[in-house]
Amino acid sequence: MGLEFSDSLLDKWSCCGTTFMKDTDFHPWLALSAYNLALSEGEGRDIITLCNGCFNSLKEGNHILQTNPELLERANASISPLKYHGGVRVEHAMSVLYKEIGLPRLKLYIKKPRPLKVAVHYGCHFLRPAKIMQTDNPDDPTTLEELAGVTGATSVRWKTQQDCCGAPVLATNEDLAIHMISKKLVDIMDNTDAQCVLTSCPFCQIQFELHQTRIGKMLNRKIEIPVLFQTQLLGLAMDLEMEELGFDFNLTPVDSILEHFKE
Amino acid sequence: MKIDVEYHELITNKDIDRRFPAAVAATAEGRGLYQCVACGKCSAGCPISDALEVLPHQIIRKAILGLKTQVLSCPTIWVCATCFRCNDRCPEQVNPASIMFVLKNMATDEGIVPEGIQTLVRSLYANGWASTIINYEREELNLPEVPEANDTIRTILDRAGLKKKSLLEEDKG
Ligand code: SF4
Ligand code: SF4
Repeated sequence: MGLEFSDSLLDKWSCCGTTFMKDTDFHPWLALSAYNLALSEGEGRDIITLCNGCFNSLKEGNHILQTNPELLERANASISPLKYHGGVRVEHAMSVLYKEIGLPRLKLYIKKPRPLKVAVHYGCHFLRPAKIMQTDNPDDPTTLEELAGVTGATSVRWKTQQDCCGAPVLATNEDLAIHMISKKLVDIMDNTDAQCVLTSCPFCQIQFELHQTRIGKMLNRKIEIPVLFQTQLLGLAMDLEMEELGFDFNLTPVDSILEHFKE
Repeated sequence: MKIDVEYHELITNKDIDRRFPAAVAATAEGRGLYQCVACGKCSAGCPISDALEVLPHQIIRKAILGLKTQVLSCPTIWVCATCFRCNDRCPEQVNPASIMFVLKNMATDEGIVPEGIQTLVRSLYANGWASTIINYEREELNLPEVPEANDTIRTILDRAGLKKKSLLEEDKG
């Protein structure tokens, strides 16, 4: 699709520090952003992330570094001899597929379109803060619905769609985090005919998958719905090799979805 | 006739730290503080408002009033899901979510940090990653192994002045 990837930085990258580092200690958080951005800049590369958390952290960090010379200088002092000049773009993979590759080109790769019903979850950090993330309208986004649409899928509408999945709250209040995801799962199961959930953030993915049994026990009912990463559905529809799509790592049973792609 | 008056918490002078709001507003992320008009829009849209004892707009108001101790010890700032909806919806560019980040930073200075957050920072400092990387799972996916942590990350965190006392030391009592 005309994208070229480099793995030469793999042994150098640092964790983005995401919210927990920014929560507690702003300057080290910003220095980690500067470090990762400077590494990419050195190779003349932009950054594409597959995780909303990294996306938000790096893009916000990038915005601060690009607009606040004092903070840039301070961060650069922490990462020297590396130096960031503000020349890197940070994008989410889904935005790249949607905006740069574009749906018409993406369609050319689809070999197995299937009329599935899906519930897409954007995840807050893909959309907000909107002024900085600049992906889509945070109150009425369409990126993920349209990407799913390329595979023949229809997206259901659900009331709690734009609510937070609760993942960032896991570290500070697990009960609340589970309460948050349970509201969404119940909404999808009771009020839509979605056959699966699609996410595009590993942390949201974990949140949607990990607690289903526990929530079922809590609510004394069956809570079970397959959760796929958006790229897994695209991969199925593109008829990519099964082994490349990582279904061994899904924590929810996805057979009901895979069925549709067995010819 | 007896009138029942319910007294909400009374604020006394000794609760007020007059320098506190200025300190919040002096930070890069906190400069919108004084712009709050108490419209309550942030709280109205907050996805966890049903679980909060002190709502986002109340945090902002308390911060403006200088109620430092109340604000920095309030669970709201830590359970905020950082969904940034309030930042997007605030009509006055207060950026309540960003201000909560400032307040969490200040709470950290005072040694108030939830254990779950400390664990993540400790892991980042020790291993370079917040989460555990499982190399055999990467192998199954034909991904290269993630190398051992090097000193670079620790050096960067040190130079940036990581608040080690609050973040790395176990059980501060
Ligand atoms: S939305 Fe903005 S102006 Fe309104 S109460 Fe919240 S912080 Fe204040
Ligand atoms: S960022 Fe925090 S305070 Fe603001 S709406 Fe989201 S959860 Fe509520």
